[in-house]
Amino acid sequence: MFADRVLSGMRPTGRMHIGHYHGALKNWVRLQEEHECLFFAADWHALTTHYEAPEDIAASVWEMFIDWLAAGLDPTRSTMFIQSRVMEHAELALLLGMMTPIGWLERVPTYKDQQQKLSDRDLSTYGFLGYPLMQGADILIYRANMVPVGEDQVSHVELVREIARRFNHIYGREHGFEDKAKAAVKKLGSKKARRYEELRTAFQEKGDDAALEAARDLLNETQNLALGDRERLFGYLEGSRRVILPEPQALLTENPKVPGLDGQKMSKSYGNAILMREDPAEVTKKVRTMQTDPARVRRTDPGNPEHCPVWPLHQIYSNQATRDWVVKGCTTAGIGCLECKQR
Amino acid sequence: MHDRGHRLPRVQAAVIDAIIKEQAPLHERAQKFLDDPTLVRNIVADGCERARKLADETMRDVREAMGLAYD
Repeated sequence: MFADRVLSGMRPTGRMHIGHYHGALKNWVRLQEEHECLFFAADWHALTTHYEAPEDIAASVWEMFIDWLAAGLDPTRSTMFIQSRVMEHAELALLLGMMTPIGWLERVPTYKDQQQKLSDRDLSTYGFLGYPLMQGADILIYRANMVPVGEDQVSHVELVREIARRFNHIYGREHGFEDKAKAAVKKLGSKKARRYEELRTAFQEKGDDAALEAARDLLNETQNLALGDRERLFGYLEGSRRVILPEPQALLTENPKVPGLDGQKMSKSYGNAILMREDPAEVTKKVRTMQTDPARVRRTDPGNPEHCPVWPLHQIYSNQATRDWVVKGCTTAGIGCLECKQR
Repeated sequence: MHDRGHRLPRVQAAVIDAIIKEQAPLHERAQKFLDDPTLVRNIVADGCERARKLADETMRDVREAMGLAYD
């Protein structure tokens, strides 16, 4: 709707580990080179599941920001902020709640999932149910069109799109919309106006998606439009309503999975993490004592890299020659596990 | 830093070394923020302010569309 804008956030979990670094932060650093970016510490989100443990939130937020900066986020390119310090998020979440059917929230796959997984606490709360709605407010309030997320979050972004569509459908109505939209088209100037009309017709009469895309690009390239006119022109392409909250896209990037030292998901609370800024001696100790393929009890037992937590590290950190050496050595028992780790 | 050099002379790219090498610039960049936490506070205060400005633009439209414009 406007220029490209990237938005993403993380719950404050304190110091980041290499899973955060390879799974998200490196990607953020890349994105800030090309787009306007906003990244926030999701402290309200932390309370949706950890409402009984608020003690660590603030300290965790500051530790997390240091690691974002250490990863290379550049404050002159990326806006870094704290969710709860921009109270408008709560206002929008409240307002979106007026028109969001409860069933939409109950159907979110992670809702029941997480309730079962985190069975040590009571998550039959209003805040936990409404969490995807708050996430919707986080995104929509910046009219961000690109939302880098992990696979588990794609369904949330899809829900946000539905909420935006519903919002625009209900609140994008406007008295005299068609006349106002036509007047806005004229303001594009005769050449662009003609092009806009051609593309709009191509989409509306023939369902030409490429034409819709091209028309949106045309509007994005047009700088001197009043906000109301911009919303009308976007809305007029598809129908008879203003687009107040544009639908975001999940930006699913191929990130390497970094399992923890024991092969489980890397997490500080499982004690299986290598921190992003780990003491070098500690890195050595942690990797040396990592678990390997359980089938390799003796040095002479052949193994399977796919069953070994060290293998994903090779996939991230080693070149092809080393990886070939590892696969061959491991599966034929040509090398021992310690050799492999030190490779 | 490690003692394996003489035991595994062919080692060029140890996972351990690769991780330590990757983290060196991270340690370096973090240092000034660890030394002076006000730098981080200021960056985030500026970020919050900028975010609030952008959020407010959208909220004006949202409030108006939902019948809550009083100006």
